[in-house]
Formats: sequence, C-alpha cells, structure tokens
Amino acid sequence: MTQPLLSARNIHLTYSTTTGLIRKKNVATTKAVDGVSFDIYPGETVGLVGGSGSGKSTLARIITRLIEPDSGEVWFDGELITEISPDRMRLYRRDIQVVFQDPLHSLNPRRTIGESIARPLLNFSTPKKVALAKARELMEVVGLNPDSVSRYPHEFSGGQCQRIAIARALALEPRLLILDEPVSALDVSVQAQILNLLKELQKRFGIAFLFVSHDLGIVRYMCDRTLVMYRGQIMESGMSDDIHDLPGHPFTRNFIDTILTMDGGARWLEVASRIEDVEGTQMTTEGCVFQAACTHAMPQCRVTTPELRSVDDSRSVACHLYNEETGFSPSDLNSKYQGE
Amino acid sequence: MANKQSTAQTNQAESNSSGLEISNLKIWFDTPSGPLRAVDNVSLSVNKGEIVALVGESGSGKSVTSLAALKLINTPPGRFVSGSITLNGQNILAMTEQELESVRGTSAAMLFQNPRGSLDPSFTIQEAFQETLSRHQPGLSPKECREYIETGLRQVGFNDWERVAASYPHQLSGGMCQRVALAITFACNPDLLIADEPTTALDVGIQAKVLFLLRKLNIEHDLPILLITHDFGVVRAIAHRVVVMYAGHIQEEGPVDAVLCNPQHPYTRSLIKSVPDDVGNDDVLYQIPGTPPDLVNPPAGCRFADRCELAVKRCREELPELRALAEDRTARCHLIDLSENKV
Repeated sequence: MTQPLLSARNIHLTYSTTTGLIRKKNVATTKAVDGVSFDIYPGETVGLVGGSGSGKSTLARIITRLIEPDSGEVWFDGELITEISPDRMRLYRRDIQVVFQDPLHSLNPRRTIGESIARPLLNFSTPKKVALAKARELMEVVGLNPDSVSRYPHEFSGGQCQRIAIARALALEPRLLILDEPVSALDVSVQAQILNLLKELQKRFGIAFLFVSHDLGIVRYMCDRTLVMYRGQIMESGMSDDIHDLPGHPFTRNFIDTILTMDGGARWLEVASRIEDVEGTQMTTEGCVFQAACTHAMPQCRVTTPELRSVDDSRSVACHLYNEETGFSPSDLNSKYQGE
Repeated sequence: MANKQSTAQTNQAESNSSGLEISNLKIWFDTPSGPLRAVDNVSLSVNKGEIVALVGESGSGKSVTSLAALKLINTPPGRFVSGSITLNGQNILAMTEQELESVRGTSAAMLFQNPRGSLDPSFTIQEAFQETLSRHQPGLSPKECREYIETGLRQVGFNDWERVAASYPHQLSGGMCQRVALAITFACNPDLLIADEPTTALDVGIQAKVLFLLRKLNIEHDLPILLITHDFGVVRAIAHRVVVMYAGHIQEEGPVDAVLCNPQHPYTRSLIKSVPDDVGNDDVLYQIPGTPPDLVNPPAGCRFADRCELAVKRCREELPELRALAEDRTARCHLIDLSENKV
C-alpha cells in the first residue's frame, strides 16, 4: 500500500463559550472535533459529510493549520506538520490549497482576477511576468477567457468566481486541494459545471481532494471514500457508494433519509417528525453522541462512547450495534428498517 | 386555540376570492444601459390550501416576482410597467404605502432565506414576538401575549418554549432561528405565506423539519404558500404545483408530479438533468451550455434558444406563447407538438 499523503491522528479541539467582559467565566464547552483520525492517499477524493455544526469545516481548517488543534497530529508527506515552525509550514502551503464556499467573498474585490490568481505565485517569489502569464494559462484551464485577466471579481457570476478561486488554488500546483462546500452557494446548472471541472482537473493533474459538503448526493458523485461526521466525531467511513446504498450507522441512515430527492420518497416526513429539538439539547458527556435521536439506542449507548471499528474490508462504524459478538453488519441495519 | 379564532375573523373581513393572483406582470429595472426586463408577462395564482413552487436560477426573476406580491420593490429603479396583483381581492398595486403597511404581515407574510438576518440580534425571541404582535394585534394583555408566544413556539416544535423565548438569536442554531421566524410570521395569522428559499441555508435534517412544519401549517390552516426555491427535491417534497421561470418568463407550469416526471420544456428538462441524483461515478454531469441572456437587450425569440439543444430557426426569431398543453399544464416552447404532447 502506498504511503498516505496526509494523516490526521486523534485530533481534538474544544471551543469554550464565556460570559463576562473582564472576568471571563466558562459557561459551556463544545467539542468541535473529538478524536478524529483519517488518511488521504495521493490522487484520491475523500468526502467529509455532516450537518452544520458537525465539525467538518473546523477539521478542514485544522489540517491546513488555519486553526491549531488542542491535541493530535497531522502528518503530511511523512512530516509532522502540527509541530513544525511557521517558516517551514510555509513550504507546505504550496502543497495544500483551499477553495472556500462563498466565491465572491474569497476574492479581494480591489484586485483584478489576474492579480488574485497570480498572488500565490508572487508569494513564492515567482517573477511578476511569469506569474501573470501563468495566470492566463490557468484561466484557460478552468474554462475562463484569458483576456478578462484585468477585470474585477464583481464583474463575474458566482460560478465564474468559483472558477477563479479554483484557478488560484491550482497556481502553486498543490498535491492536496481542500474544497469546503465549493458548490453549495451555486445554482444547480452552475453546480454541475463546477463539479465536472473539478473531476476533469483531478484526472489531469492527479491532485488529492478533501471534499467537504453537507450534500451526500454530490459527495457520492465526487468521492471515492466518504467520512460521515456528527458532533465532532466520525460516525462512519467507507466507500461512497456503499455508504449511500447501505448506510451502517443509524445516524447515516437518518441523514440519508432526510435528503430530498426528485423521486419523492416520503421517508423524510417520518424522519422530520422525529427530529425533536435534538439540536437544542445540551450534549451529554457520556455515551454515544447520537443517543438522543437514535431509534436503536441501548442502555450501553448511554454509558460508553462507541469506538470507530472496522466492520468489513473498507467500512468502519462507531456504533455499539457492531461488535465481535453480535456480528452485526450494515445490511442487518437496513433490513431492520425495511421491516419497520 | 387563539390562533384559529382570529384566522376566522380575518377571513370574514375579506372577500370571497382568497389567495394571490398575479396577471401579466411586467417589472423593469432602469439601468444606465436601458430598462432590464426582470419580470416579463408573468401570470400565476396561489389558491387557498395550495403550495405553489416558483423555481428558477438566480436572475430568473423568481424573487422579484415574490417581492412584488407585497409591493416590496424599490421604485425607482424598479418600475411596474403593466399587469395586476390581487391579494384576497384587493389590488396591491393601487395601494398607498399606508394601506400596504396594513396588508403586509396580515394578509401576506414573508419568510426569508437567512433566518438570523430576519431577527434583530439585540432583542430576545420573546421581545421580537411581542413587537410583531403589538403591531398586528394591538390591545393584547401581557397574559394573552404570553399565550400567543407559547402557542406559536409549540406549533413549530419547541416543547421547551420558555427557554427559546428568553434566548437571543445568536444563542439559537440557524434551523431554530428559521422556525422562530416561521412562528412569528404565523402569529399574525397571514392569509398567504411567501417563503423565499426558506431552507437553502439549512442542512438536510433541519430542512426536513422546516418543510414538515410548512406542510403542517398548510394542511391544518388551509394556508396558501408561495415557495421560492431552486431545489427540485424541496419542490417534490411539499409543493402541489410548480412554475418554472427563466430569464423573466414563465417557461412551464403544472402539477408537481407531472412536471417533474414528464417535463415538456427543454429548459425544465435540462435543469432536472443537471441534478446529481443517481449518476454513476464516471458519468459526466449534464451541464446546460452557455449563460442566461442579457435582459436589457433580450433576444427576439425564445429566451432559452441560445442554450437549447433543440432550437430551430423559428425559436430565435419568434417568441413562443405560453400555451396550454393539458387542462392544468402550460409551456412556452414552439417545439411541443400539441397533438402528441411531446417535444
């Protein structure tokens, strides 16, 4: 097996909420990321799915060191990047690039798009002429007219701005591209264009993608493997198609059932009536994070937190239903639902 | 229930024709290069008990149409060129600003995309509620007010309504804010709800919850809803009828099942085709070529012609009429053969 390009090991990050202006008092702590480990191999696309507040964006920011974790290790290309100096980290910034959700806000409105795309190259002391020539080239790669280099972001549509942001991220020829909800602000028809572009770029340059999204349909289309997050923990990981067709964790099952599709399944209604204020309840410190909303919750779930353990070749699930004794499998969970 | 009683009262005061009726509406925006035809000859109706979805890309005129229903368009630069808007038999366009004030919130209420943006951050939920109630139902005693708040918040699924009422918007999640906004909107007993992308900013679970509530209000109170969205999944889940807009024109209209399963207009088909539902990993997603036309100088023919794979010469020269395909379906396309009902 090849060596992973990026490995995250046991990442923890807790945010605390404070009150008081001078004497700060901790009123609550939120575990944004709670013991997450995963690998990304060269050239593959890994999807990171979860609802809002699941910690998926925080995790993406931690592996780029835009946020420092409380504990845990991030390895990139065999080096422990959570420990290295900012100067040395700068070198890795070439290799890890990010594309954010809101295309218009991630571009400086006072810079022409040519300058924006060339900026990363200039940061790494590329001569200005070369950088601008490269910017034109990149615009062609992402399907924009190179003659519009001297125009400003507001002159472009949302989809075009996202293409510009992608061109900028590609400028330094990264090995890992982090896409944080790259299409959720776009119209369906534009969304298709951007997704096709990303797939084509990956084929052409062999870049690894970490694709963060709340849309399991898109993740399934884009990604080889998928990680499902809820309240800072990975609930399930496996091949995208398997997870979509045969979800193993009751959370994933719920998550899939609430996706509205064009064929108009009515399951979402039943699930929606069950979603009772779970979002508002304070998190219990003991047991599984999903226990309050889980239809399979057992006494054990209220006491111990389930570990993420492998249930077949490619799949891992963090749920007490799965252990050596029960020999429970994802298809068992699905037949249970079918039986209901 | 207090809510129901006053709904009945409001209804009595109105004439028999309830619901929203927009006909031949044209709204232009004056720009330095000429008038931009944002909404062009749009007719649509939302009847009692009905959820009508208005679907389209950004720039299609769907939001302008919905804002126009309450005359919320700034004039200038906007201009109501022609057409009429009737809400419960009242002519909205002929109203003065003062008359409109009494219509907004009571006859028709709006729910916007960004739930946090529609709640004032410096007021608690209870205060926001009270402000709306005192505006629309003056003379309520504090106790009655409290009852309204309880009913309202319970109705949108908050069993711990007291905690929610005492919270500030930033203490609630996006989904909770949207449900609070819905509760406040509904406390004024509107005769029509206009929901502009109410779930676009929310994740799937909470989206399901909010849609569930919209449908519940629709069924229990016969509340007509005009739902603006670009998500066909949402349309399929709760709407009865769908109106597809593109470049200021209605392109297709009909019952949801019929339109989504058997779309007639090439634009509707392309939109549906570009949704990544059940496509293989190696397939290339369908994408509509080109970009929407410039509405300052719109093309003479069909506005979708330049992006349409089936377009013929006639499509570029002559604007197709919105024709009836069946009793409850219309489409704007030259290529639909009425005899076979097929493109």
